[in-house]
Amino acid sequence: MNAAKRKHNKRHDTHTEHYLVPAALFLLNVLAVHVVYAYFNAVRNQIGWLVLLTLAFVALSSAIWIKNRIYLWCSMIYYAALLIYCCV
Amino acid sequence: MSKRAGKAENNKKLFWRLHHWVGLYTGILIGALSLTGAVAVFIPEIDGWIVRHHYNAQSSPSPTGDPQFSQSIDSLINQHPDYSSLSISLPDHSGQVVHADVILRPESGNLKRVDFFIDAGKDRIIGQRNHQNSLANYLRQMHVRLYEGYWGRQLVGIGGLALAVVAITGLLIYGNFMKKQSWPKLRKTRDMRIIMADWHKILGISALAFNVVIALTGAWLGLQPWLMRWLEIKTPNTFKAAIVMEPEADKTMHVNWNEILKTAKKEFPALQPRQLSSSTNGSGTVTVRGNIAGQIYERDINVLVLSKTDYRPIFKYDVRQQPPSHKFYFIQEALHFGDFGGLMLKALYALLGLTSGFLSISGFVIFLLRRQKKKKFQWADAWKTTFVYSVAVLLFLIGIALISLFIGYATASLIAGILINTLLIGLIGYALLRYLFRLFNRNHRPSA
Repeated sequence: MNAAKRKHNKRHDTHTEHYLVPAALFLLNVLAVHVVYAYFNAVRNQIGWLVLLTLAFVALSSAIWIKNRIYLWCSMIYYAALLIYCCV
Repeated sequence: MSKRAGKAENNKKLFWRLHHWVGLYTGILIGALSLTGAVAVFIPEIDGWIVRHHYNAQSSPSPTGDPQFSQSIDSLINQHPDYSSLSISLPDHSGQVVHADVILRPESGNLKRVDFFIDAGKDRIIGQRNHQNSLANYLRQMHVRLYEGYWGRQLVGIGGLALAVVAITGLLIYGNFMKKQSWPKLRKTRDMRIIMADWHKILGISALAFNVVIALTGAWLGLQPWLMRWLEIKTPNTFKAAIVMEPEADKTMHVNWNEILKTAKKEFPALQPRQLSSSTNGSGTVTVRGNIAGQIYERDINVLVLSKTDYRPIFKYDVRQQPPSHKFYFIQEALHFGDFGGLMLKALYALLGLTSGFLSISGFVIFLLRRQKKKKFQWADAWKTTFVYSVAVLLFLIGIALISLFIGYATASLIAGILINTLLIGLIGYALLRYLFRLFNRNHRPSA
């Protein structure tokens, strides 16, 4: 195996590419709609909630871009927790 | 290969086949619905613009701050004693007119639905139009039932179901097709099939959740009449007030609309009234419908029914206090049309909604280019074929729009019905003949 191929394999993590990125993109779709909805309907005492949602959006988008496995898991769990809290 | 790995491989082949055939046979429907849906989310804005600029109808500032329309409604009732239904839509923003949607049932002649525009500042009727032939009605009817009155709605529901199938099977085969490719990288090539395939995969997976939600809510909304009958689901929020007077007396009874709005504010403070309707069946009631800020439910689903005689509340439906089954029922339309987050959310919905249209076109191009590669498809260029199909869909949409606007809804609906059903019979007939032909060839193939 040559060096370039080894470098490519190291960069390409099949588990991340085939499972984690699609799952994160799935959540990002929901989050994008959620953020716009939250900003549109926000009232004064909800600034904290808006900050949490914006952080989730930044975290999830950057995690998809960086593709770090732990970062992806953390940002997905973080938003999933916000979503569950919001629904319950 | 182990038994388990073999089974997984067979499943993937099945998912791919499903994705391929369902996409191929329903792609044109999904593409048309994607385009009409992306425009349909803006119906209130488009209609508001048309009323303001084409009909030159706008409201002057109201002296009290509240919309004024009582005198105009009284004069409408006096002018049209043959009316059978009256519904008043209140403006969302200042400057917009009050709409009085009146159904006229003359003793001689056909039923007519007229939309009157009322200046909410001066309480004066400043214009009218035929509701059925409006652009807003065209946009809604085209997306909801393809302008086909008999079973167009169910056909759209089947389109939603097909989109759900292609989206879910697309996810299941995603890994197999990406192999060593990373999201969102496009392979460096001049092969158009590979370029389209890369865009198809990347956009498909990027808008997957949105498309699944649109598909499932669309399937439910389209197939709702059938599903509710089969599963014996009762429509929530159906209140029928008792009959207390003669219908004629009910129709001519004076209503103080300002008092109605004041009572609504007192009895249901969270309600943002958007629609008022007066009974004509003898129940002597006024129904106030509206939204509650920040709630993701179907428009105007919260209801307050007041008596016309003393304005006391008879029935109240606050969706927040309803069981989960009611909430689930009424969330479908809001999720499908995205009208709970202002213009920005509508723009996001339109953008993401257009991805399913792009996916049906790119999927079709990939299919044709693959056939071309296998030398099975030489009689025409793949791009020309795609162009012809796309232009045919656009011509259908524009043609029906022009007929509906300038000739009438009924004619447009008749022509759309003939075209759609002919196309459908042709498609099913072609698929059936193709299958029988293949079966015949297989059975009569000379054995080696």
